[in-house]
Amino acid sequence: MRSAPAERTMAAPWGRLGFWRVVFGVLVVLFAAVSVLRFTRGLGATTHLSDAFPWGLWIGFDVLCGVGLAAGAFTLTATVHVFNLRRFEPIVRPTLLTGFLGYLFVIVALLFDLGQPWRIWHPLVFWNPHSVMFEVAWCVMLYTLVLALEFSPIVFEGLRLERPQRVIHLVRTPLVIAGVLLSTLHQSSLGSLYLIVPEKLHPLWYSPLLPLLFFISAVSAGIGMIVVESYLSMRAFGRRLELELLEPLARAMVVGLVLYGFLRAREVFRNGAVAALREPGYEGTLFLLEVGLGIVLPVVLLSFPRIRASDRGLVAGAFFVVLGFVMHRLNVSVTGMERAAGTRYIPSWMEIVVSLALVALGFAAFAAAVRWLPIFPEARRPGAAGVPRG
Amino acid sequence: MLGAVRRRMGLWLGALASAAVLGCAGGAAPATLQPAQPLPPPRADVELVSLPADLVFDRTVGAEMAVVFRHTSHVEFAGRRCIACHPAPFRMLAPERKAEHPEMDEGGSCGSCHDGQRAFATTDEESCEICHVGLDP
Amino acid sequence: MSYGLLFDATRCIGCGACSAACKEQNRLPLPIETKTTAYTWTVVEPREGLWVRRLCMHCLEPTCASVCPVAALSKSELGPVVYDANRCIGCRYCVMACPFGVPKYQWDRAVPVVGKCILCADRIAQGLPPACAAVCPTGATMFGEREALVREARARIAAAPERYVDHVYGLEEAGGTSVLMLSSVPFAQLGLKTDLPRQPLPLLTWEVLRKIPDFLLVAGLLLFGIHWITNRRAAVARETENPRPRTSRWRRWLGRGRQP
Repeated sequence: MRSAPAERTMAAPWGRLGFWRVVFGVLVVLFAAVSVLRFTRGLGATTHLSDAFPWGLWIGFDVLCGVGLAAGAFTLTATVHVFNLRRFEPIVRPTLLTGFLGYLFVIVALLFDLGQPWRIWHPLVFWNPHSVMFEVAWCVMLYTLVLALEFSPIVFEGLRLERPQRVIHLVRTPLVIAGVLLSTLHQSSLGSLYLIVPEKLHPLWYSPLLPLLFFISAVSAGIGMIVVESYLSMRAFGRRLELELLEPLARAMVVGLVLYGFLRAREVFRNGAVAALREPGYEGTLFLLEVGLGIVLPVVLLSFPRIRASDRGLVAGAFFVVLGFVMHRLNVSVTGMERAAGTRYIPSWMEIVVSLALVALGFAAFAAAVRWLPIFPEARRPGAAGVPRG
Repeated sequence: MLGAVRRRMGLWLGALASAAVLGCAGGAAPATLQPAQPLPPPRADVELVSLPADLVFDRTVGAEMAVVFRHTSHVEFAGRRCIACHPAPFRMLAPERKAEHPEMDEGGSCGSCHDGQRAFATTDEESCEICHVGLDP
Repeated sequence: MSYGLLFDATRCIGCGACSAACKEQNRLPLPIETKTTAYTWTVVEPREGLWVRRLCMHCLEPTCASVCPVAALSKSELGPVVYDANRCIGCRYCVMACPFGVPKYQWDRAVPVVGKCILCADRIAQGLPPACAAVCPTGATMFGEREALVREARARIAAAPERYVDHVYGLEEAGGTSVLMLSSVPFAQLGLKTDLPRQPLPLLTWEVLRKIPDFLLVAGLLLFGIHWITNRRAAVARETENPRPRTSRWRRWLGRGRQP
């Protein structure tokens, strides 16, 4: 364990006022102020949403990306517990943590975005099985519960409670499988949300395969997030990059990306949207940027074993996968919907503050969890050794 | 611990900012509502086949003759713009059954047009018989 | 029995009586705006020297009712697509998905709801025409059974083919609507969407959603199967390498047969 940077940061947590600490503080203060405005003055006073453009950054980034980037959790738990590839176990916990925090992030963002968030439980009581949103609502609730249960042994271990750990361990297989099923439904259903607007979503992005495309890209981006998260942990907590585990994952990611890229290309041709790339207009540019930076570049980069097996190359490749994923979700939810709406949507600064602050709070929560819970193997408490791992 | 937050945030802010910039590149200011264009006048070439029947205000106070309100004499005056009088000051589906001089003399009810400028005033004593025509004129 | 409206753009003079009556009937705040909003459910818009009404088309298979996660929107048997504000959570999927751009949101309120024409469902239930049809001075908006209105629309076109575009808007658009329209100029010039599919849009999502139960069953079994096989394989490998007395998993969990 490379302990130098970790000790430096741990030693004086409230020491000198760093730049990012100030940014964090300002963000949190602004966030509190915007929250008050949002819930007292309504969505119109705080967002640039309108009847022509009713879904903005909070859906496009917070919900669509938050859910997708949490996909590493089900991918990895399935790898370890269903496919029984136990060697990936050391990175399961931080991934579960990322997934759990990701879903909490989505729920908090939804509380901001919903017009009447105190009714968020209504889909439990008032059913409409014909609605994709109904499916999304149930998946968010159930999968957050599953993630909480999957994560709970780590908390119990931290608290040195052995019996509850055993209970969870006993139901772990059904839990993991439920998690995989719910995630598959949820990831794809976010794409299904847009199936019903064939005449509104730009042909560069509309496809009857949207659910499948959302699922495959989420699996790839979920793996990308595992790599990015490992890299950040390396820098923040003085950990080593688990290259021997991440490199095979990256290979799976590339396979997923290639499949995804192939399907995207096919759908663009099938929609006859190739012409749209030659027309003047920002849709074509953004499409090319998204595909170039988010699919082609990482596939090329990570196809070279030497790049893939290096810290820097691997992290760069994964970063572009995540970036491309975020761009895709924003393109579907914003860029692709603007022409039909007949208006442009640029989020208000208050929408951006809420999104950024929630991301920052997520990082703070991650850091706090690492500090207080046995997230990384070397941080495990001696007393808890020998207990089955979540 | 906060150092960790700091380092992580740096990267994330960068990612989010670049994604936001890319996602919205080339964006113009959000569309705002144009100042409402004055609407063209309603068409005059279609017959008004179903105007409501005349309204009779017969419980008069201090006047001998009941008032009969005719849509036909008012609609063309208002340029066939029904919204000039509806739903305020006059409701359509459940029309007022009374119209009183004190209110209209202060600019309410009929007085919102019959103010001496747009149409003869409700206080103009020489105009009484224009409205108070009796039930069998 | 399903009711609807027939709007004939050749007869509309743009007087705004429909908007005024709508405000009164639905207790909506004034003023009458120039576009439909959460507070103005119907307007008349000038287009090509004609006037065209904007209002909910009351689809036979409404997209809004299909997408609403809490079934706040629904198609009633009498024809209107009605809205139950007490269920609404404010996700605005209806605003986003409606092919006609009808539902609007109260963006200026802290406790907002959706606003849209409900075809005066209460009045229809009492045997009255919707307020807009009741007050229309020219008969441009006509109330009746949808079947009768379709016949009437076709009869008008047949009687004066030079006067009408040979198409009843709403007969098939998005699977058909309870509000039908006639025009003397192509409907696109009236600002109406003419690129809508003839099938109801909810089919697009239902085709995916209806597969969920089968998916859960098949994928669940498949995952359990894979888990069972891979685990069994690992267990066999362990036993072969390092045999040990058999203890049931249950006993191990109870802590009795725990290995050292």
